[in-house]
Amino acid sequence: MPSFRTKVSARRVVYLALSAQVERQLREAYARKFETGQATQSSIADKLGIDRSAVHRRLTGRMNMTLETLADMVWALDQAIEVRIGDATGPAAQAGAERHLAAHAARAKPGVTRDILARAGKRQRTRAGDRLDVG
Amino acid sequence: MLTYMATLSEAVRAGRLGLFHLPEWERRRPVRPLYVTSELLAWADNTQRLHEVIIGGRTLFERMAQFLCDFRCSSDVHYGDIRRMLPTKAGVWRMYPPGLRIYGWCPGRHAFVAVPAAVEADTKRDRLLNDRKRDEVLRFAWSVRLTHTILTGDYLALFPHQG
Repeated sequence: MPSFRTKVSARRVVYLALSAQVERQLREAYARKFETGQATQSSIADKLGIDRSAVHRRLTGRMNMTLETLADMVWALDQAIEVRIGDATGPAAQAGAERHLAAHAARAKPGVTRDILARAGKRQRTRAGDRLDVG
Repeated sequence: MLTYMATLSEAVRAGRLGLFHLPEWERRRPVRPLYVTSELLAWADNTQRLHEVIIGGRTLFERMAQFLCDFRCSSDVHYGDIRRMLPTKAGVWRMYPPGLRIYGWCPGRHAFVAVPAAVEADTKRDRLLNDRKRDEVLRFAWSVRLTHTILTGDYLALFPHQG
């Protein structure tokens, strides 16, 4: 079965991951506020002095927001931002890579998942060891 | 072609359907199944407009992939993201990724089979396109002998809140 992933470059993946995270977290924050009756798109629009449709576009990710626009949305939703830029081989990236390896293995040949995960774990341990030696 | 009342697993084994696999940028774990046809993936890969038209910094292709990821991984499916098509007794649903439409049916609660898709602009230009896509879903379900898996019901019946 043809795959979506053949079309996406590694460079682009970083942007897609970031924009997806921002979009998802904004939507979830809005959903929480909306369910408790603390915010609507109109109330956010009033607070920011913009049109309701602009709020809708931002919440559904239909625009490429600047950092200032994003900060405005976060402020209007009474939320806080935490940004973390880490090593591409750090623990979070490793966890994602392992999940992906496992998914690949399950697709290719059931039963090899454990071997691939074991190899990924070994690589991670080796990297950690390298860092210790260098440090 | 399958010649008897089939199951989704049999359609997958026959190569008519496949589970939508998450792309590498998606770090969440899937919580609901989403089946897609190879024709839909080929359409997404080969339709040039999907790779050229950009909405909010991302191409329609990337939007579609992200939308399908969100369907698989989000705790809830938002009401605005998926709606029943008329006539509702046919059990065909339409997804609303930005700039696109994806058509299919629900074989169970929190599950979806995506069959064809269309560019939103085309559905505005050709008023009968939505109807043709709906019929395409029903024809596909019939061809793989899965019409008995088409669930009817409203949004809350098929996508109840899991909290």
